[in-house]
Amino acid sequence: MSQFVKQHPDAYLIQGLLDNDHRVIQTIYDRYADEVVRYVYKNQGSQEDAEDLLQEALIYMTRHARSGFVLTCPFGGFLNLVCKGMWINELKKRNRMRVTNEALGGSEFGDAREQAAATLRDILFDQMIERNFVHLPDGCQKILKHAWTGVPLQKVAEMLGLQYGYVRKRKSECSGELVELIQKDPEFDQLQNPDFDFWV
Amino acid sequence: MQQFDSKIEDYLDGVLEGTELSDFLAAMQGNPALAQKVEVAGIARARMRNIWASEPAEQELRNTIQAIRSADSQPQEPGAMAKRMRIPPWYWAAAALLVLGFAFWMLRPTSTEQLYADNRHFPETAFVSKGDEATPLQKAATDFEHKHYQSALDGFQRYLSSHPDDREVQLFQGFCLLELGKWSEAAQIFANLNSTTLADEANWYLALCYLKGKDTARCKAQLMGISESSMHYKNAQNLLRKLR
Repeated sequence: MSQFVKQHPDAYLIQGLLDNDHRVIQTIYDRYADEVVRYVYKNQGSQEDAEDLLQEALIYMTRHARSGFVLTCPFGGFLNLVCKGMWINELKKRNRMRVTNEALGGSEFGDAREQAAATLRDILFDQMIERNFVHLPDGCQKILKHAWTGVPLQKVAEMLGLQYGYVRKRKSECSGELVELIQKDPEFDQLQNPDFDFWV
Repeated sequence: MQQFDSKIEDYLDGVLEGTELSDFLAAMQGNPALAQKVEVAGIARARMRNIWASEPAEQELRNTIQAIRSADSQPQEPGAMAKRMRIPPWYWAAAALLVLGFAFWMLRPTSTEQLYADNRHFPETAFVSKGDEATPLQKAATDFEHKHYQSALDGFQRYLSSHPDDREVQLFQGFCLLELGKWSEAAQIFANLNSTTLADEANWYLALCYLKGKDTARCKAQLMGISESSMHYKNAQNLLRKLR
């Protein structure tokens, strides 16, 4: 992100997540957890659903922040919008899409909405790719993980007790299978659409 | 196109050369489906690499969050998490004393001032920042905790002049005004917050504004509007009983 982007004073909360700072994370829970719990409760979720949702949202937001994200809006509105978008997506998967129209506190911030949409797209893209990756056969997952993290194919073949030629061919097939799974995923098209509304 | 599918990984690995590379690039240009497969394969590879690289740090973060969650592991209703975190340790001792004195309490005549004093339990401030140096906002929060409401108000107002959208600070500004006897100004602030994430606190303290202003009719009306999902519902019902 541009160095001229002005970060919001709440950006220290994002930094606290990046630093795994217990005190800051406790502050996030003290200030914002209740709102997320209340929203999930009102929308067909349990206490555990809400707490899992908040945990995953914070972890994915931190991953997103690691790639250079700069918070330019209030953290509370941003977090609420991300959680709401993730929960709506979860309900769609459970075929129980009937949420209240209650704003989670973030909709009044235009900038928060824009930042949350970019973050949500990133989060949901990661989730979709991870979800499809684990559907590959174990052998495929091992070959791709080693090869894509820079292990030479000859070494991958030795590690897995396979022939080099087989590993090379299989890597190409496994990658093709993953691409096919992703392209068939119902979320793929919506995540490609820049105008997709995550909160309806 | 099938012949080129097997070349996607080689292309992304950067090992295609010469005519193989130029043929592949030409095929991509003439075939959007192939181009999209290359794009998706590239994105999948980059994202999975990022996911794997993030795993150790994410596990540490997950452990920290789990520790915070398990400290809050008792079954709760919505609203309870924030409530419990704000309850100071001495609350339980005070609550026990209140129970012992309950009968006396019920018989004793109560003024609006007394009811206000009994019901206003402000949440703790939590304006944390990185580093050891106290920020002006933290200083205002400390003043608030020490009941120096005028200097806390000045500090919060200075902060709000540059951060007008910070609703939590607005809430504390309202508390200061309420304590300083400027209850109608405080009421205006709480009324403006009643459609935000701080609605539970705002609606409850708006009722206390009317109580402090001895406007019991509006106080009752405000209390009756506090819904069951509010963290202050029980407080509101208790106060209503005492006002009847």
